[in-house]
Amino acid sequence: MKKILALIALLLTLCMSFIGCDFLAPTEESSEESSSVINATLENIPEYSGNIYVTINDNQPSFEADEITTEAYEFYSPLDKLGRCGYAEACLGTELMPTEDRESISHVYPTGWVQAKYTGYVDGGYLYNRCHLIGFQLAGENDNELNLITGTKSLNNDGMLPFENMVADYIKETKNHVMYRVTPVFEGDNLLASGVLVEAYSVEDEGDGICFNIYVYNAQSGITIDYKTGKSYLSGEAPEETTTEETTTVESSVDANEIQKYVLNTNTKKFHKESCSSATDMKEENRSDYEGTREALIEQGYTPCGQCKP
Amino acid sequence: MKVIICIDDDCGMLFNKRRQSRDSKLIEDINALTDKLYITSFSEKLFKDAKYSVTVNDSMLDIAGKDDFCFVEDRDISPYENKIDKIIIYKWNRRYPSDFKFTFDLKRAGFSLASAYEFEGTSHEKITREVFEK
Repeated sequence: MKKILALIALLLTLCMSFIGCDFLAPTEESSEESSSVINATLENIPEYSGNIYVTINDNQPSFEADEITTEAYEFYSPLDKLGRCGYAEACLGTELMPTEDRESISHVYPTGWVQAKYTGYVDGGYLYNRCHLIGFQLAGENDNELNLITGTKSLNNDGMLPFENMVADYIKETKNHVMYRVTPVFEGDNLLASGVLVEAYSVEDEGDGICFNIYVYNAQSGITIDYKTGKSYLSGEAPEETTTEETTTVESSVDANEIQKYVLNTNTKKFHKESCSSATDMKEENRSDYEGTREALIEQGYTPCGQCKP
Repeated sequence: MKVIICIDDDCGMLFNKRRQSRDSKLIEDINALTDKLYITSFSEKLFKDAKYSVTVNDSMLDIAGKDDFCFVEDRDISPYENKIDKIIIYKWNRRYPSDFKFTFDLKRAGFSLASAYEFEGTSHEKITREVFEK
């Protein structure tokens, strides 16, 4: 109960700061060595300015002593009356990690899912991904609708994925456990989350290996998003070749979660269309044929070929 | 002086004063390179089981001699550019968050790639070891 009250308080605090537009300047840099990472507090998360995440409270997560455990578990909040996800929490360990490849999740439609394509503005074109709150590589949850929100490509790939990679590799290497909580933040009745709060703390070494508290913006440079609905448009004047499909549904578009055939270069970690010349010329020992989703490949660390743009 | 570092795809080294990643196979690889290694107190836990001479000294970059190896995780090597004749870079081939990066300009400092080697780690599919020499 204490945990739930704490989370409600946290969400209220976040909502108040958003609703009141009380965006203050960041409090301090998190490191003398970097000017790119901004530190903030929950009460004054700055407006998105190109950095996909900010650290919160000097990276200190808010897990309470009595909820930290070495017993693996996962919890997903029920959807609210608008069909929106709540927080997801887990004690991650090798016990929960997936043993099979991820399958398609394209049949799940999280709130705010209004797919749009911005060729030349978004890597791969499509603005939105179905974003796992707790990444598939961490807990193996495939198409659990309680764990999937609509998120921008940047939130998913640039914001959340590097942190998930760090946690996953730490667990694989040490066999330790990590307390992990992801809280999507919705303003009012908005269908699209403004961002997600991600907290993590390694248990056995008391945070020596993993310890962070970040807020990732559900934003994409160059694109303006209506968080009430999920609709979007180019922030500036669109070039002629740009196509904006504000009302395009997933069924009529090639989606990052559709099953496709790709050719992988296991050496360069690039993936290609079968018709790509780089796939034809690839050394046999580096080639691997793959059938699955684009998103799953990216989660595995592969990047799309810049020539054939798969 | 020979310097050893680890970086991710974004040249990151640390996030929140913690190393981005670790791998016991990488430590074994370092162990095979030298029988005498300097580290700082930051790296002590990684080498607690080393069977050879590991010297813990936070001023290692100041005191290391021409043939000594220094494993660097938490500091900038630029001020020691003239002392360094070899840099061994281990690449995780992964993207992690970072707030401390490897910003040393190898080309400007006259280093070029002498060799590259790939191996599978304990928790990483592919780790690349690149050796740069003057």
